[in-house]
Amino acid sequence: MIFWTGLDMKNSSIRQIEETLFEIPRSYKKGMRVPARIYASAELLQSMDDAVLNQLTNVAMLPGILKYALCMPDGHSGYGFPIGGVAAIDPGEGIITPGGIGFDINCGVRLAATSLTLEEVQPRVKDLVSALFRQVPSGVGTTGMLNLSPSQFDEAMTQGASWAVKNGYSGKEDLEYIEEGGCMQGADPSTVSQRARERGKNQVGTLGSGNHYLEIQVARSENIFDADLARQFDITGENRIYLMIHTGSRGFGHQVATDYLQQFLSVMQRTYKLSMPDRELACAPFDSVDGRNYFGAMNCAINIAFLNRQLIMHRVREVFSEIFHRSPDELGIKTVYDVCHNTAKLERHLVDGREREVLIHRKGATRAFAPGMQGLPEKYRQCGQPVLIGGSMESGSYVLAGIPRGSDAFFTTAHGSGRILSRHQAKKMYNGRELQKKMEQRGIYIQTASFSGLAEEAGGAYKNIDDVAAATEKAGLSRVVAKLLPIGNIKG
Amino acid sequence: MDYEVLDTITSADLAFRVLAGDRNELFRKGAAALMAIMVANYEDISMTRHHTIEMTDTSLEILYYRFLNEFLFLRDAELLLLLPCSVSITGTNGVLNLTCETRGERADRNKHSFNTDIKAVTMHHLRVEKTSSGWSATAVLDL
Repeated sequence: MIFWTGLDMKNSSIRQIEETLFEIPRSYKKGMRVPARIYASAELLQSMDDAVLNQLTNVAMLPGILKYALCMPDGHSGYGFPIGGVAAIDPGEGIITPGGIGFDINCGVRLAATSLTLEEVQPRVKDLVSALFRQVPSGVGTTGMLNLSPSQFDEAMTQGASWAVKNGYSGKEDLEYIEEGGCMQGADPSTVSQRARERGKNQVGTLGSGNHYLEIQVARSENIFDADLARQFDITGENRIYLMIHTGSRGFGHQVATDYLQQFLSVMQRTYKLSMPDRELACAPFDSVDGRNYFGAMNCAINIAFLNRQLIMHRVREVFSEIFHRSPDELGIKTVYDVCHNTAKLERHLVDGREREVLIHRKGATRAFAPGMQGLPEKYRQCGQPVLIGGSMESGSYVLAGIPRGSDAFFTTAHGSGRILSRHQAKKMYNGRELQKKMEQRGIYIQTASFSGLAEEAGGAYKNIDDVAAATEKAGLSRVVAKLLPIGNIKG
Repeated sequence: MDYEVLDTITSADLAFRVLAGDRNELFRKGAAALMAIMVANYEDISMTRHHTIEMTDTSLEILYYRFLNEFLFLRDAELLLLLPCSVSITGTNGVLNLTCETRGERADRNKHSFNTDIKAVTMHHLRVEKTSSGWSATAVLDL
């Protein structure tokens, strides 16, 4: 059924296609090549700021975009491309744009299981959080745990997480459970600037700041919504403890994006006769020297982010081992899955009934492969990819699974809660130190490098994660499996 | 600090505007605002290190973008927190030459209190323009 919603233009041009799917037609704005589609409940759509719709309809103008410009249920405005935005591009005729990936290339989330229970961890949670805060570099101006030579940095750019394993860090068994096996093919260090190398060299193995975090979580039995899938993801309830790491490629990725944004802007019109309504959507044909160079550099940044999360995982193992006087193996610390949020990847998808290669830009969105798809580890081949939706530090996070119906969205789903308050508004409404105390009273112990940053990340600054997860499932993007609740958190 | 946060442009990130009588002061205020957004106690940054930023461009807006990003690059690559002391922009035949004298010190988590990490200056809504009363610059920061 197609009908007009009662929303204002944000809204008078938005058609409701299904309960959780809205469409803005091509006719809405000159230059749109495809319609824009938003996966959300009516309430979530109403909570999205107008800039989301403007940015999404700009995305619909990208040369080579196929089917729709898509926005996930946690969509919110960013720069150029909305957070939660997805664009599938014809790699032969279309473009690649750094704005469709973001500056924090392969910002992503890793979920790790432990064999510990809440009863064992709760009495030591302050010790754990304090030790993690000391041992995992976080915040602005901190340096990482590696001092890489130029040749080692080149190796890391092409090897990703496996570089850590080859160089004596723990986690060989983790690699299979990282998207792309923790090593993105097509990384080309020759396309990375000296400035990106200089900016990134100090930061491999650092958590960063802003919405990046390392969280200790608990799986309560009442929060297991699909017991079969949860068991396959090693989420068993019974107050078992899990760990979540949210970080990306740090300054290295930021500089790769900055370099190529500027490069694309300089050649977009002059060389390729392309124009976009927002400079942040500066682009170049994917099948061009500029496009391929950016793709090679971006893949290096994807790998540095994989390595970053792997090194932090190593430190987490060390800390838990020290606190509990047991080896990481005895503590059962193992990766459930590690997902990317900000990438462009060549994948094979059905488009108008024909399987073809497409370049999927996902900015603040998660790949969600369905059962049976290539690229999944054997363990998840029958059940689909684990999807991790990180919530705010107060609300908890969700684990979902990829499903066949996700093909309409190129097997993509939400990545987080999505902001409803700007950082500036959140700082006016919340006090970081008071928030820390209130959270501790509620059983969430937190240490931070910035109380101002903590206020920006208050739970009230985000959409209700339960609503986002419900809309995600209702929209057929992925299936809800379990919710994990925070008991300890370090923020940069 | 003399800058205005623009809350209607982006919710995930931060847009800010500075105003000045001339473009040299505009750029200096833009960089000072960037540092104040990032460092809570930016007044406590000691002026023990000196660094000169020099760059050339044909677009005033792109020059502003590159200029602000340079402070983030130096923060990460050299671990330096720098405050702009003076900016000079000269131009001939459409080429703009910028020189900025900065002073500051190495970032120290025990001394400096950070509000937020700025990942990048973006080109979204980037605007540098002459107004009836002087100059205005708007930029969106990826946080």
